[in-house]
Amino acid sequence: MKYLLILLSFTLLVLPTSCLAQENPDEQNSQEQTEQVILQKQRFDAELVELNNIYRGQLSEYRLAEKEFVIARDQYRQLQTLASINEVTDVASKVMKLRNQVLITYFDLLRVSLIAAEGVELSLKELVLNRLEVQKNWLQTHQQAISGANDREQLNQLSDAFTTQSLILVDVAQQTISLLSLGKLQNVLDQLTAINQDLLKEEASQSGIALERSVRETERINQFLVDLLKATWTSLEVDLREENSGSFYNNLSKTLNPIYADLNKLVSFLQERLRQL
Amino acid sequence: MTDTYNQNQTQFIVEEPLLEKPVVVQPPPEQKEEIKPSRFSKWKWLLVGGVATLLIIALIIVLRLSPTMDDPEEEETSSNGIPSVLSPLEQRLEIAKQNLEQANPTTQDLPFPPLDLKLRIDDAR
Repeated sequence: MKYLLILLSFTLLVLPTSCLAQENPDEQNSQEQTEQVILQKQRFDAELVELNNIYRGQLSEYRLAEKEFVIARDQYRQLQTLASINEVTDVASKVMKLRNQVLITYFDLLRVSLIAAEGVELSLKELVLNRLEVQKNWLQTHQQAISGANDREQLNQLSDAFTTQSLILVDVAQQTISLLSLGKLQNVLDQLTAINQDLLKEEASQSGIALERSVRETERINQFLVDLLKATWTSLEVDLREENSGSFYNNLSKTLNPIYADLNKLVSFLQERLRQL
Repeated sequence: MTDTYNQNQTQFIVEEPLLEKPVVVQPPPEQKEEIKPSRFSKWKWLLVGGVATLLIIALIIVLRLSPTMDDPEEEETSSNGIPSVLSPLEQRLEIAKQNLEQANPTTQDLPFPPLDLKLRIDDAR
């Protein structure tokens, strides 16, 4: 009898804990997925913070070196001595390396931002990520060439090569910024559309002309934004594939401001409807 | 009078039975009654043990089922700084609003760095 009681107590002690541990497997899976997404986002955020710090440090170092170079170059032009040539060659090599390093980190920042960005179509993401990688590789090769150059003329040639390449560097950066800017707005629209759908379910029990009108107006602006963003994506995609994103970037504010304003309007509509729940 | 008085004072000390232990008469040992554990007390202890175990189980279940008590300050605001008094839909809308503020196209997070792209030792010929 005593052993029976002990066995019963043990069973009662073990069973509830094991039952509680085996919660709904679907719920656990979705929870795990959410946790993974959050962890991944945290990793990206941490990487971006670190890169930003490195970038700022390198940029300030470059600015000091640039000032040093301007002084050395002025002295060289005035004095035209061997000592001043040596000085300006050394300082030019240093500032050119720092400039490349700043750009390599900047392209890393763009790359991680683009990978972490939500609301950007995957094919466009990959297209621009490849271009970023190509430019980063060019900068690294150029960096090695600067390290190997000892002559004033060699450095002048490397400067010219950089100036020519800088047009492409700027263009690829602008392509990335355009994608990121439009992606942010697309992400907000996706969130608001989902909220609108859930709000409709909540409002299912209510009725009235005012509510119907509110829903219609919200749907109208939502659909307008969906169409507008679709057209904007098409325009950007064409420019990106033709490597002619300069015009899109130059008109970025002009193109995206109406979308931004309408998204704010949609937020206000949803807020009003939520208050009336 | 002088015959009876012993002048040798050391003799008295030697002869005195100082170290003699007095015989203590021990009382006869009492017969202890054997305490037999009654069947009732055994069952009582088992019952108490069982009730205690059940109480512990009930406590464990209650602790596991009840939501964990966080820091009250953390409870009021979520990680995004959005008050948790808002409904889930309102919270989602607040997050969307914050994201929209960050998506303002007039502000650029990552503009091209301000570098001298035409830096050269000699003027270009």
